[in-house]
Amino acid sequence: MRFRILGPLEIAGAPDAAVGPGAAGAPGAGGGAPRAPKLRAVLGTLLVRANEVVSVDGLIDELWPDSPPRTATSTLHVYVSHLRKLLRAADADHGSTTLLTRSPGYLLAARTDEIDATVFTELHEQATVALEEARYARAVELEQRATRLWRGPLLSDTPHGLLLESAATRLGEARLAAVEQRILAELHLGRGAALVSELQALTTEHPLREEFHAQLMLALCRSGQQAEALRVYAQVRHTLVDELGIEPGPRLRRLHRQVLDGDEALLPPGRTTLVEHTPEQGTAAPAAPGEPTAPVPVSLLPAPDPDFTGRADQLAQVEHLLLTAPAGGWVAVLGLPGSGTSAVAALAARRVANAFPHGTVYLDLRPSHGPELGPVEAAAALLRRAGAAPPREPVEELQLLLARRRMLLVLDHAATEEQIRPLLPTTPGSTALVTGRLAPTGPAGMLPVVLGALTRAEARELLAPRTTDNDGADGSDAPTDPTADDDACATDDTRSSDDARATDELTRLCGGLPLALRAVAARLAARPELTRAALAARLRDERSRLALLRVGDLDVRARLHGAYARLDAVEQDGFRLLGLLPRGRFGVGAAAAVLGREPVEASVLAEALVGRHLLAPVGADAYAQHELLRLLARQLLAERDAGPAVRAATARMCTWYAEEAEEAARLPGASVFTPDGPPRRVELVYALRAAHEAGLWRLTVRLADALSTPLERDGAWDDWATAHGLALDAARRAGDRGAQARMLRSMGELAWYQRDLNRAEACYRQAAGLTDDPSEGARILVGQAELLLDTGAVDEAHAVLTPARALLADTAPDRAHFELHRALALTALERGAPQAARAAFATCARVAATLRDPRLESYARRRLRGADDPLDAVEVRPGLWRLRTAPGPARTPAPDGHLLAGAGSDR
Amino acid sequence: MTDVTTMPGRPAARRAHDDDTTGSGTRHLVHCPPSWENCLLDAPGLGEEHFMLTGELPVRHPLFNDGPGLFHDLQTVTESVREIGEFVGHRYFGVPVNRTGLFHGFALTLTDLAAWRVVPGRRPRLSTEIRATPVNVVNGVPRGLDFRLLARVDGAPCATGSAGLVFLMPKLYGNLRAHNRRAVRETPELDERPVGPVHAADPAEVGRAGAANVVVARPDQDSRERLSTWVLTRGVGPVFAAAEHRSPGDERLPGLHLLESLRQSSLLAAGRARGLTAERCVLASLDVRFRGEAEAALPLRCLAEAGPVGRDAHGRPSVPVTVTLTQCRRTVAEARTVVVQDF
Repeated sequence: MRFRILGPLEIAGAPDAAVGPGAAGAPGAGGGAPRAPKLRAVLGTLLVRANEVVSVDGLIDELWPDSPPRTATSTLHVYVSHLRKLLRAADADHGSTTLLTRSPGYLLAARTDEIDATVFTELHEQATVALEEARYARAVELEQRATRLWRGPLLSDTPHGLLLESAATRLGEARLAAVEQRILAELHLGRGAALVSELQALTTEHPLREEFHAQLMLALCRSGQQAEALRVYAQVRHTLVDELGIEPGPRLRRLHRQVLDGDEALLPPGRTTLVEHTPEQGTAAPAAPGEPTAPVPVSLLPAPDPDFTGRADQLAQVEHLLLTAPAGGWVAVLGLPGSGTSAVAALAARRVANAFPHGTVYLDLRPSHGPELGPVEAAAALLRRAGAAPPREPVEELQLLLARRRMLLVLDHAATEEQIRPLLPTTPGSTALVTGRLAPTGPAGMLPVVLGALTRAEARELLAPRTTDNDGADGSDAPTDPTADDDACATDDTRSSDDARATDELTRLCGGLPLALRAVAARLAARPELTRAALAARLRDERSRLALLRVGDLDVRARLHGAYARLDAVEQDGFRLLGLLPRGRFGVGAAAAVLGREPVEASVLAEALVGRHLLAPVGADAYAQHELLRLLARQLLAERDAGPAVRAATARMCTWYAEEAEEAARLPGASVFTPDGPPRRVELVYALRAAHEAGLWRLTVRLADALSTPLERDGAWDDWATAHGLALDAARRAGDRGAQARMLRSMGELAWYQRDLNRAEACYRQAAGLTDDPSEGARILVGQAELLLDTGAVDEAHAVLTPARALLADTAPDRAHFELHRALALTALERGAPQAARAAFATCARVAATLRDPRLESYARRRLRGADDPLDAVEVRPGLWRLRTAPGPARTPAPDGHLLAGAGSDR
Repeated sequence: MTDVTTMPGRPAARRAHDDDTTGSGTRHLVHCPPSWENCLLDAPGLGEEHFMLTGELPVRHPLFNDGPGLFHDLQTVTESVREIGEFVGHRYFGVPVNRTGLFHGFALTLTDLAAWRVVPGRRPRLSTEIRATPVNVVNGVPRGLDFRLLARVDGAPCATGSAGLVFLMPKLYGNLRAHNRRAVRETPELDERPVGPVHAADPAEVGRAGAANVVVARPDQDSRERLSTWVLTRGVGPVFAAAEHRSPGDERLPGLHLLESLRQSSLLAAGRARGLTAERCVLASLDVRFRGEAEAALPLRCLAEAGPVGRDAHGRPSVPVTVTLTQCRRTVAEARTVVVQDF
């Protein structure tokens, strides 16, 4: 049987079930409790004094405290009889033996776990012991279980006599003590902010209870609300003086003094200032106010960054690795300079602090004011912070200390493996969290977490405005028409959409680097009139981007340059030269070309830069240089390297790309880019620009020739115009008339695709005057014939193709042959001669097969099948359809002059 | 819904410039494949395909160039997409040629008004980037296509939009048409006709010059400031039927006719209700959903409700208009438009 008296009286059967909230078989409201108040009073009194004899006189006094009736004894007997029936009904097995007659009264026999009040008392006592033994988490758990048993004041639905009243007071006090102890234990666990609201309610409910006020002051301090803590003190003091005429007790006064002094003993270890605001990030137990303090590690973790955003996955990974690291295992947070490794490490250290009861010790191995620390100095510093006096052999002593304790070492800015190896814990229980310039494939035991670029969502969060937009808040501009709000919303939507696009562009321009994005955020905050789009426009200029990413102490270039400066001379040379490569990924072959080294040597150098986080591996033999590092490399190249050397490197790179593209052109159908496959079109265009910029005219033309097929195939008109425009300029500067003709003819074809017929005509005309190559001459004529066909001048087009045929009469099949027969076929179609068209397309197919160009061959075969199709939609080139709109049958006005069917009307 | 053109055969060897008098002229449709593998095998695309449609903006089009002549008509874009939609489905997505394509929605928003201004003596090129995505693919054949559009005039991006096209099997389409006709015939109680004679709106009020291009009647204004008018179906210019190659017996109202009626009623509502001057106005945005086909033989009612005057991003007066076309009390099309008046 179970009895609940901590609240309304409840009785239930199910004797095996434990008393407690949520237990199986828990009674409903009222359970099997008697309804009559006097019966409840008798039963309640017996339950409060369970397993004790309560005298008949005592019960009568409880029931009728003022004047018992003459029949009080017999009435009591009747009550007891009723109760026995009720108990039997509730528990057939044991109900009859629960309420016993024992002189001089009655005894209710119940096990400890059958009455919630005794369960509460027992849990509270266990919690008190746990608290005394500094098992705070256990104490919190026990007290929580104890206080959860309370559903209201003791026997709240029962009239109280003296006995019940005193029991209610006693148990109520015990409940408050349980709450106090639970909060005290939570404060020991470093919690603060989460307790503030609860403590505020408690201090309001119990204004004279100093302990709650002391706890509230401490919690407020840990939430960074020292002023509020002082206000709480002033308030409780005022209350005590007003109500009782006394000053606060010594404990409160001492705490008040500590707050005024900014005493760090009020904070959990790891907090260096009183502005901490992350209760769950607390570390080991602090000394409770007014209690003697044990040596506690001074962590000196950097203050939490209020603007820190994102990295949720990486933080979770770091936390998981720290909590599961095997003996000798340690976690390294690595990444490009400016990627926020220190911030992530500090935050992760705070989050896992509870798992390291002996504290977290932070040490910056590269202090801002002083040289890098060696292992011995670092070990001594760690020991000092751990509360131990540094002995003569600090490294050994540190290891001994770590073996005895469960500690987390946070070693920031490690320079080398040698620097940290003696400091790393080797025994179970303790571990280390390291940031710095270590290679991801680093020392034994390393569990690396590499930070990459922020995701788009993370960057948007980082760049989110910190203040609300006040546009339109001015009453004079506020719309008065309620419907105008919709319009305002639409404008806001448009603006936010534009802002999102600009934010994404800013992210792209910064390569997602947190430091750079912070600089952007700072610049936007400093200049509210500067829009994101305007800043993005400024950052697009590669020459000034790094300069713009310097705002106060946030200096992206300086940070990146710091990493560069720590490279050796060979690595520095390589780093700069790699900046010549196109943005994005590149293979070892391209790297070897620009470096002027053998591929093996280039690979070694690239791996060294990967180890320094100045290059990212993006495949088995492929790398990528971060966009901002690429800009730095190019700046350094311009500043430090001689022009001829840079030009030579550019020439090597462009030659390599040209060779690769020419090789790829031998497989014209291939279009899928693979890491080991041909370079992408964008890279070739980049190389072509570089060649043109370096004045490498012939290489520019060579790259443009190699690009012809991909540009046409992919419909990349912008790249086409750029590449062949530059190549035309290069050909003119080189005095290469043939190349000029090729480029002009190609640009004429582009204009034809775009239906810029006048420009196409002009290009072909110029090209015709420059070439003496039969194939090129034939292709120019084909282009001109196509223009004529477009205007319906079929005979003229056919006439133009006749000399083209003559030009190619004695030449081997090439692309010009294909184009000639394609044009002949189209002409035949326009003349209504599908048989001739079929023959010409068949020739096209044969030539394409000879050229091993499946794209052209596929086109020719499609056209063979569709030679009889209508001419309003004709695939005149592979993938290019000429569409002519046909006039439909004209609809004549209705004879009756009606404008509307089915109704009389007048126009 | 509005059906697309099917490009039937026509005599060849016609001067390109002559096209301008009846249609959008000769254009190039370029397929820019994400991978050439599909094209090599002539296999239909399974994912998004990218196209460019290029041509000159018309300068002598009987409808698009009829009016004050301050701006090129944005409908050039919608017409182009209507014309190539079904073709793309059949040619590049493996949709059987006997399946009729019906557009169920169009949206087009002008992003740069300046690019649409007419410059005398200059004929700009219109390039429309079209990204087509198959939807509802059954046994490798899409039941529809979604289009995303980006229009450029002489290379300058100036409009974005989208369109939805559904392909109906012949029997299904036949049933749909029969159902429509039967529903209209069998519910005479739902018939709605104008009371009294209907007069065509003033061409100047709908942004046109020629009376034959006016497709809405003079409106009435109800107590809720809504404009109620009728779509004119007889006596209109041949361009509407010509654009769709309709046979004489075809009873459906052409898509261009419907779209033009939405444009004209929007301008009419913005002018009558909010005081905008149609001569300087353009339709800056159009978002239309077609709920069914309109029968040319029955009156088509048009309700237009102008919203409050606002300002676009450049401070020009703009008026949102909601337009509903109904026939026999059945909704044919619902549109939200924005009319902008240039400075």
